[in-house]
Parts: sequence; C-alpha cells; structure tokens
Amino acid sequence: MLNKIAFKALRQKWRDYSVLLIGTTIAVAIFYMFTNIAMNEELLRSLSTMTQKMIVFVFVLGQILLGVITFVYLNFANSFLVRLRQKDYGLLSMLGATKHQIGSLLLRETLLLGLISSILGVFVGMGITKLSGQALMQSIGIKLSHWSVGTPKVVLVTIGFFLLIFLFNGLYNRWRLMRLDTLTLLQADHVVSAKKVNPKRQLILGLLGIILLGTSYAIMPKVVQWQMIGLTVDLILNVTGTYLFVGQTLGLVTYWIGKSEFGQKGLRNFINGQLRFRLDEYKRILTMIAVLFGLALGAISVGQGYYVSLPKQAVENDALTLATKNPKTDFADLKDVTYQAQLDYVVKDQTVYFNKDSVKKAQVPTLVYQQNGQPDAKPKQTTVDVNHPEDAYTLSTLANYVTGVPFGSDVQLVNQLPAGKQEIIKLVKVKDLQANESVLKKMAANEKAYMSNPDEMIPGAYGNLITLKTIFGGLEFMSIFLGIAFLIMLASTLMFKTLSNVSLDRRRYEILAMIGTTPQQLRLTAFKDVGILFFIPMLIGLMDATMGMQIFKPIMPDPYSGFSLGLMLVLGIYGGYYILTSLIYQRLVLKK
Amino acid sequence: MVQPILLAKNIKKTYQSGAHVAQPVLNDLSLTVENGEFLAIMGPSGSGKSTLLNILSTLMQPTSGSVTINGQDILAMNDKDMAKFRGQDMGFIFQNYNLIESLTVAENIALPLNLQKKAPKLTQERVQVVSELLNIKELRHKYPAELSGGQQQRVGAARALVHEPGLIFGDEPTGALDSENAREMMQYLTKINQEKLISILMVTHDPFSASFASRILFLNDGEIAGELVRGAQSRESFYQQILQQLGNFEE
Repeated sequence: MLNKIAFKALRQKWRDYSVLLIGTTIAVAIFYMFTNIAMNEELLRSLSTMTQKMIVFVFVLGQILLGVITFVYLNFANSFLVRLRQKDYGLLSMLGATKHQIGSLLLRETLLLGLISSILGVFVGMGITKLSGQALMQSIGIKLSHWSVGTPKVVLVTIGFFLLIFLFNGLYNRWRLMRLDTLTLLQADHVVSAKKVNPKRQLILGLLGIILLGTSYAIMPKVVQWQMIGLTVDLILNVTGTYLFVGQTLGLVTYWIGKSEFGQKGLRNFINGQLRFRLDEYKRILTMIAVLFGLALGAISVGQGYYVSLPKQAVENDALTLATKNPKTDFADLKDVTYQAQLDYVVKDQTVYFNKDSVKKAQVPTLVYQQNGQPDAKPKQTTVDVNHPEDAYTLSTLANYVTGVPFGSDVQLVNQLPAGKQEIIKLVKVKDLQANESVLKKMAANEKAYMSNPDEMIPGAYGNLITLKTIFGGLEFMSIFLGIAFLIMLASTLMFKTLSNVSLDRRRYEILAMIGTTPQQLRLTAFKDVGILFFIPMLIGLMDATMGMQIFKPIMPDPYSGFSLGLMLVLGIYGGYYILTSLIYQRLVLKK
Repeated sequence: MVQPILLAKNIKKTYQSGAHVAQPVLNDLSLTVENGEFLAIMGPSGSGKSTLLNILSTLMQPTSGSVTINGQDILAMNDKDMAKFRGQDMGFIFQNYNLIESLTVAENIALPLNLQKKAPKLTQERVQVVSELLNIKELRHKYPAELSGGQQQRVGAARALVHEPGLIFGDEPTGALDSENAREMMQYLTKINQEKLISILMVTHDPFSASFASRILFLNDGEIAGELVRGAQSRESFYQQILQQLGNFEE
C-alpha cells in the first residue's frame, strides 16, 4: 500500500517532480562523467608523463569537492521533495497514519527517486561524455588514446554512491519529519521568520567583509612566493570575506535601498525585500557558488591560457617554421613567408655535410643557446655562424632529422660536398604560425614519405607545436572538462535552492497579482528576482577569477590569454542555467 | 444623479466539470453598489458569495452577464488593463491578510503606489496618512510575522486604502480575528467609509461584522434571497434585525 502511495505521488505531482528528477539526473550524469575520467588511470597517465603526480592529485581533490557539492545539492533537492509532500503527510497523519508509516513513505519516495535518477543519470552521463569528449578533442585537435565512455565499474560506483547518499538523505528526512507534529506539517507554508539584525554589528561585519575580500585580492600576485601557506591563507581570507560580503555587506545594501527613493519605484522594493529576506538563508550557498564559480572560471582560463600560449612557445623555441625533404613542397601556399632557402647535403657515417658557402649565402636562421661558452637562459635568434657550426641549433636539428637518429649526428660544413647521394632540404619561416597551420599540416602529412623515422619530430616551430599540443592538449581538455562539470553542478545547486522555496514565493506573487500587478510586470519581476540570486555569486566569482589569474603570473607567460574564451564558456553555461531556472520559476510561481 | 460605483447585471457562473453541466453557482444575479455605500453580502457557505466577490473584483470571469465599475465595463478589458484597473480603482482586504512577509509594514502599504510609479515623496506622505488613520504608525518598520492578527489586518486595510480607490472589496475581513479585534477592524472600515467616502463591498458570514454595513444582501443558492437596509436605526438594533432575518432563513 505504501509503495502505491509513493508511486502515485510521483505521478500526480509530475510537474514538480520532473524538475526534481531532471536536477538529480544531471547531478548523477556529472558525477558519472567525472568518475569516468578519474577512474581511467591509463588515460590520466597518458595525458602527461611530467605532471602525472599533479594530475592524480587534481582529480582526487576534484572528486572530493564534487562529492561534497553533490551531497549539498541533493540535500537541497530532497528538502524540495519534503516541501512538496509535507502537506500531504500532514493530512495522512491527521487521518491516522502513524509517524512510522509516514517516515517509511518518505524514505521509499526518496529511494524511488534516487533509483530512477541514478539509472537515468548514468545513461545521460554516457551521452554527455561521448558528445562533449568528441567535441572537445576535435576543437583542441587532439586524440586521446585511452578515452572511453565508461566501464561497468564506473557505472557501479556512480549508482552505488548515489543510492548511498539518497539512503542517507531519506533517513535524515525521515528523522526530521518524525520530530514534527501534525499541525506543523499541515501549516508547512506558513512558517516564516523575520530575522532581526543589529545595525551596528552588521555595519562592522559588512565593512570587514569588504576588507577581507580586498586583502585576499591584494596579496594574490605575491601568493606564489609564499607557496602552500600563501595559497591557504589567501583562500581562507577569500572565503571568509565572501561569506561576510554576501551575508552582511549585501544586507546593508538592501537596507539602504529600502530606505532610498530608488527603492520606491515599481516593484524594486519587492525584489529588494525578497533578497533581504533570503540573504540569511542563502549566504552559505551563495558563498560556495561564488568561490567555486571563480575556481571553475580560473581552471578553464588557465588551461586555455596554457594552450593559446603554445604557438608562441613553439615559435620561441625554433628559428624556422618548417624544414622539408620533399622537393615538391611549394611554399607559395604559405602566407607571409619571411625566409626561405634550400640546402644540399650528403650523409656519410652519421655525419651530415653541408656546403659552407651555400650555408653562408643562405643566411640560415638559428637559435644560439650559449654565448662565450656560457649557457643563456633566453635563446638568441640569429643566423648561422659558419665558423662555429656546433653552436647552431638549426643545423644540428636538421642533421638529427635527416639521419633519423635523434642524438649523436654530427654536422660538418665543407667547401666541397663529399661523394655520395646528394639530397636537398628546404627551409621556410613564416610570420604567423597559426595563420598557416592548415597548410603546414598538409605539408607535414606529405613529408611522412620522406622521413627515415616516421615518429621523428619535423624540425621547426610547427613540429614543436605538434609536440606541445600532445603534452598540454590533454591538460587543457581536463581543465575545461573539470571546469564545466563543476559549473553545471553549481548552477544546478543554485537552481534547486531557488526552486525549493517556490511555495513561499508563490503566495507573494499571488498577492502582487491581486493588488494589480500586470502579468508582464509579474514576469519581469520574477526574472529579476531570480536574476539577483544568480548575479551575486557570478559577480564575486568573476572578481575572484580576474584577480586570481595574478597567481599564475610568475609561472605563465600571459595568464589572461585564455580568459576571454573561458569567460565566454562559463557565462554561456551559467547564463543558460539562469534562463532555465527563471523560466521554471515563473511556471511554478505565476498562475496562468 | 450620481452613477453607482458598481453595477452588475445578470451575472451567471457555471463551473464546467467534465461532461456534466453543473448547477449554476450564480444564477442571473444583479446588484448595485451606490457611491459611498457600505454593502455587506451574507450567505451560508456554498451560496456563491466568494464566487460573486471574485467576479466583481475582476479576479474571475463570469459565464455571462456584465459588470461595470466606475462606468467602465471591466469584462471588456484585457489582462493587463484589468490588472491596472485593480491596482488603481480597487482595494482588497482578505481574510488571511495577504501581506508580503518579506516586506516591512511601510513597504507593504506602499506597494500599490509603487506599482503606479508614484513619486517617492508622495508615497511616503500617503503611507504616513493611512498609518495614522489605522493607528499602525509605530509598526512601520516591523515585519508582518512580528504582528498580531488584528495588527496585520489593519496593515491590510491600510494597503487597500493608500491609493484612494473608489471601491474596497473585503473578503471575510474579520474571519480570522477574535471578537475584540473584529469589532476594532469594523470600526476602522466604517471610518474609512465615512471619512474617506470610499465605497465598501464586503462578503461575510458573521452577522456582527455585517451589522456595521449600511445595507445587506442575503445570498442563497446563487440568488439574492433578501435585503436589509440599516437606515437610521442603531447598529445594535440592526444586528438584532439581521439575526432575526437569518433565523427566518433557517426555517
């Protein structure tokens, strides 16, 4: 019988439940997506050999964080469920159902929801993993060898994790419900408390919030010098500052708006009142979202920043763009060619012989890594000095390439090439590597036939770029993937928090409608009402990320280079969530 | 001659439930509220008095008939105009107060003026005036949850009054109040009616509250079953008359 009631409730309140179900399904899907990568050790190892330890650490940390957010999120989602059903439970209790029966009913409903959303979520997760994985790999231009959509182990871990959380939540809900009496249950919607604040205390705490947040921004450029301690202190300052800012400083702002003439226009005071009323309840979640919004944007931007800096690094590490043994290669297809030449050579016993005069005449560009026998941190762009061919990076790279032996090939500049098979190598340098990437890609593909070792790196900046991409592309992929996963969870959490309070808001909007608010004004007000809740953490998160990029200044050439793309991606997803939330909110709050 | 503030003609309302054509809730009902009148509508539950109030106050559409308020045909209006009309020409007092609990008393009262985008200065002044009238000046900065039922209802009345509408609708305005608070509330409504010359149309099942009105219509099974006019008699004797009338209906 209880099973039947639980199931019927799901069917009857389908519209409300569907919101809940979609939300929890998304949570499962994101968790699945993440776990799928975190448990794929081969993939993690293949991403980068140098940073293996770091990446495992990042994923462990990520998994813990995601677990915590998921937990909080499901808590909100479940309190939404309880609110949906509280009145019905009160009624059942009045009709004589025992506390135990009602508690058991709630537990069953929670588990039913958990089971459905876990199974749905795994499927959705597989879908998202497949699509987003493909899309990301394609846009970055890499192929991950150990990439998979999932294993039975990942499916089991995900479903197990969620059933456990749902069980815990269900038990907790049951415990909470059983402590309430019938009357409280029946009057579920009428419990409203207005919190009194001490203005002096709020003013002090509000100012303290600004100071702490400001300090955390101010020390960011220096944080790296102080290493772990610096990072920890800054994080604590930032989180505390944000918490006080959201809870107290904004409280002051709403207080002032309420007093000012600005608040007197239209429904501004209503929206302001909504915020003032919610701040106390929302300050924790808004703080969490603000901080994590900043982290997600930061992660994506840093990943992207590394990635966009690759062509620059590639160019800095080589004097040429491309060297080719293919005599048919035509450089005419390339844009803005700044240098081109052709050299004859002969290979004999691992030694490559060039004609001294033609090298001199060709003025082959090269990097010089040392000066007067001392190594130089920054290589110098110059032309080959025919008297010191051993210093010329370009010549040794070319030698290694044509022999197919990475190390130990020797270069000799001679007046007369020795007897043997005479071959040519063509050299080219372009102004803009990225603008020529597609043409270079074709040239490199045609080059395969002429290479003695097909795994060999083709000399020049283009070859560098390809190598760098295989190393860092995976990292970028991860950072974007991670960032998006977090962002979706955050936005879903906020969505639920907003929607779970809908029964209280509904009454307020009904009153507004009755006393003469036009339908259009009501819709606009609902948009703004939800908008402010999304706007506050976004604003703080944006500041966090903008300032936070300073941390990377000592270790990245240009930390802000990936920022605009990261910003677009993050704002796109977050904005989408805002629109979705306010549309659902409107549907729930406004009567047709 | 001054035109009546409200004129309802041949109102009919039938709720459609599935294939059945249900018994009409309101059956060809007509009524008039004169300018400055305090009209109470009484009737047992199921008599259609809530439906009538909802229709007259534009919150619900009748199946047929016409409603004119202040010379305007309200059924010909679209949603937007209707909302605006409600906001400017009508005030509402509800049984459960319907205050917005996230706003202070002063902010609640100011809402109708805010909606009309009145100048902040004027709004403040008007809020001040009605707060004094209803003796809630001291409560200005409190939230509804901190007030007693009687206080909340006075705030509700202040909100209904602040934009000086031509007509205030009351839906069981004393329904949630104890007898002492109910008496006080009705005295305030009488004051509003007499000092501000605002017409009041109130639905109630409580004969005591109804005895403050100048005229009473009795509703039964969707039709007007009787009428009492207070005239020059005292409220006490009017109250006796109402009880007698209700007794007659019982038989």
